[in-house]
Amino acid sequence: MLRQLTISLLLICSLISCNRTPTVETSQEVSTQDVVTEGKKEFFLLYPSSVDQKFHPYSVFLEENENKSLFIKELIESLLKEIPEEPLSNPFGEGSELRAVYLLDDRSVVLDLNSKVVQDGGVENEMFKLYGIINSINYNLPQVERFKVIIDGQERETFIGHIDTSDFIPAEKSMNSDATK
Amino acid sequence: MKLEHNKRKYIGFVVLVYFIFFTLSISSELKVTTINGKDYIDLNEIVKTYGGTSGKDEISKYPFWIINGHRVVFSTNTPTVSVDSKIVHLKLTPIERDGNLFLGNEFLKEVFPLLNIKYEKVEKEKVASNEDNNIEQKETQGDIVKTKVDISYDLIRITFEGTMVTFSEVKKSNNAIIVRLPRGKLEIKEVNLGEGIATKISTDSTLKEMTVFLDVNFKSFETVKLKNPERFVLLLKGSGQKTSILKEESKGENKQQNFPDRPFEKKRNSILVVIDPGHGGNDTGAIAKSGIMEKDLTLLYSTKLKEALEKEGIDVILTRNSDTFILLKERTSIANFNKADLFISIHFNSSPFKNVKGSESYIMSKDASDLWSKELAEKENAQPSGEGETKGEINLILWNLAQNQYLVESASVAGELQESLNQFFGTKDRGVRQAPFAVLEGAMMPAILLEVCFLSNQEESLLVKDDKFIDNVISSIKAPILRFKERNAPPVNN
Repeated sequence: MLRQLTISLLLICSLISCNRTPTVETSQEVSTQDVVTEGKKEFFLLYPSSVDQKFHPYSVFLEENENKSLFIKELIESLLKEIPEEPLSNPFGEGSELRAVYLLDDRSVVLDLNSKVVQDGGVENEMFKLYGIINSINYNLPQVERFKVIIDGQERETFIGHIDTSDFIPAEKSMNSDATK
Repeated sequence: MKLEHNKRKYIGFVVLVYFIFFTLSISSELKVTTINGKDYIDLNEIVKTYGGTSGKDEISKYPFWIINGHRVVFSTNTPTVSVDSKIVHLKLTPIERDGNLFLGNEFLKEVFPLLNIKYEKVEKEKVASNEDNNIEQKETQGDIVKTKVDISYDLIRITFEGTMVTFSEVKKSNNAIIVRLPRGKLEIKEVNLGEGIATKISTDSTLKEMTVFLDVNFKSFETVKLKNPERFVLLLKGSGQKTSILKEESKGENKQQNFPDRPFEKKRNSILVVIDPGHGGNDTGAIAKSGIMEKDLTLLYSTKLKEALEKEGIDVILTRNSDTFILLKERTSIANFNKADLFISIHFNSSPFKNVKGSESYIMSKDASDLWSKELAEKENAQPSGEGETKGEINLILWNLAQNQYLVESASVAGELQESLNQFFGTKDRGVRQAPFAVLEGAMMPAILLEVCFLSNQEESLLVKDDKFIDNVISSIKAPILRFKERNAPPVNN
C-alpha cells in the first residue's frame, strides 16, 4: 500500500514537473521579447506592395522620442534600411540616407536626403520613394502634414524628374492601402 | 495791425534761428565710435538726439527706426538700408554689438535727406573701443542670386533667391523694368521671352542689375517678398490677349527648338491637343536593361500619336520634336499659350516590382491642391483686402492651383485612357493616380501624365519598339481623345 502510494506520488510529481517545463520556457520567451521592446513602442513604416502598388503598414519597434525631429530621423532611417517581407518591398537603393530633419513648426518639416535616394527614374519608383517617406511620417505623426524635400542640402524643382518638390507638399493618402486606414 | 504782423514775423525768425542753432549743437553731440579703424555712430545716440522709435522687427529681426513718418530698416549683412521700401546703399555695413546697432558715420549724409532731417557734419569725437579687433566687417560677398523664370498664360514670374534679395530695388522706365540687387550677383545673363508681356531679360556687366524689356501686352507688375528661403518675386501681368514663350535657355544645357511665336490658329470645328514627349536632352528618364531610353520612346510615341490624331482632324502641337531638354513648366506654358483643349505628357514607367506591367494615368494631386487651397484661404482670411505681400503670395498659390478647376475633367479623360489601355494590355484597373506633377501644374485645361508601360518589366521592354505594339498603343490612346473631341469641339456654323 505504502509502496503504491509512493509510486503514485512520484508519478504526480513527475507529471507536475513535466507540465512546468514548457511553462518556464514560454515565460523565458516572453521575457526575451520584453527585453527587445523595452522602452520601445510599435510604429509603422509604409512600404509598397507588388500586389496593388499601394502602401501597406510594416510594424517596427522604435524608441518613443519626445523630440519630434529625432523621432522622424529614427523612423525614416528605419524605413530606408528595413527589409520587409514580400509582397512588400523596400524601394530605396543602397547608400540612401537621411542627412537631416528640420521641424519648422508642429505641421511642417524639411527633410534633407542624400543623392542616392533620387537615383533610378520612373514615376512609380519616384512615388514609392518620396511618398514612402512622407506618408510614413504622416501615418505615425498625423499632425505633420507639410513636407519639403531637399537633396544634399539643395532645393530641387522635382524629386526625380516628375513630382514638384520646389514647395511644401502633403502626404498623398490616395497611395495608402485600406490596411493603413 | 501791421505792428502785430511784424511782431509775428520777428518771433518766427527768432524761433528759426534758435532751431538752427539747436540742431547744430545736438548734431555735434553725437559720439563716434571707431571700429576696425572706421567711424560709426550708435543708432541709440541718433534716436536720442533726433527722436523717433527704434527696435527690431518681430518677424524679420531686422533693426528699424521710425522717424517723421518714415520707416528705416537696417541690414546687418549688407551695406544697405531701406527707407520706406526704397533701398539706399551705404559705404559701411551696419554692425550689431551688445544689442546696439552701429551705423557708418556717412549714414547721416546718405539717409537724412530722405527723412526730412537737415544733415550737419558731425564733429568727430573718438571713443576708444577695446573690441575693435574682435568685430568682423560683413561687407558684400560675391553670393550668387538664383533666378528662375516661369511663364504661363498672361503672366511671367521672375524669382530671385538669395541673401537680402527682399531689399532689391525695382524701377520702371518706359519700356523696361529694372531690378537692382543689394547684394550678390545674378546667375543668368540673358533670356529671350519671345513676344507678349516681355521680350527679353538681360543683366548688366556687374551682374547686379536685371532689365526686363516689356512688350505690347504688358499691363502691370507686382513684387512679392517671401521668406524661408528669402525670395523676391517680380510678377509681370499681361492684358489677357496672349503671352510669351520662353525661346532660349536660361542656362547652357536648356536648349530648345523654335516654337510658333503666336497662338496656334485652330480649325473651327476641332480641338487642339498638346502632346509632351517626356524628358529629353540630358534628362534620359528611365533606362531599360536593354539600354532603351525613356526620352527616345516618348518622342517616338508622341510623334506617332500626333500623326494618328491629325488624320482624325485634330490639331496637335508637340512640346519638343527633337532630343532636347525643355523646362517642365515651360511645357505646360506651350499648351497655355496656344490655348490647347487637352494636354498629355507621355512617359514610360519603372518600378521596383519587375512583374508590374501595363499602363498608368496620373493627374494633379487633389491632396496637394487641397493643401494649397487651404493655405490660400488662410492668407485671404489674414488679409481680406488682398494687398501687399499677401496678395502676391496668393497669386503664386493661384499659379500652382491653375489645374485645380480642371481636375474633374482631367480625371475623366485619364480614366477613359486608362480603361482603353487596360483593355489592350489585359491588366486590371489600378485607378487614376495623383501627385503634384510639375509638368501638370499651371495647365489651364485638362492635363494628364500617361505612363504607357513599364520599362522595368522585361516583357514590355522588349515590345516597346515593335511596330504592331506601337500601333495598338496609339489606337488605344486615340479612342478616348476622339470621344473628348466629340464632347468639346465647337459646333460648325454654316
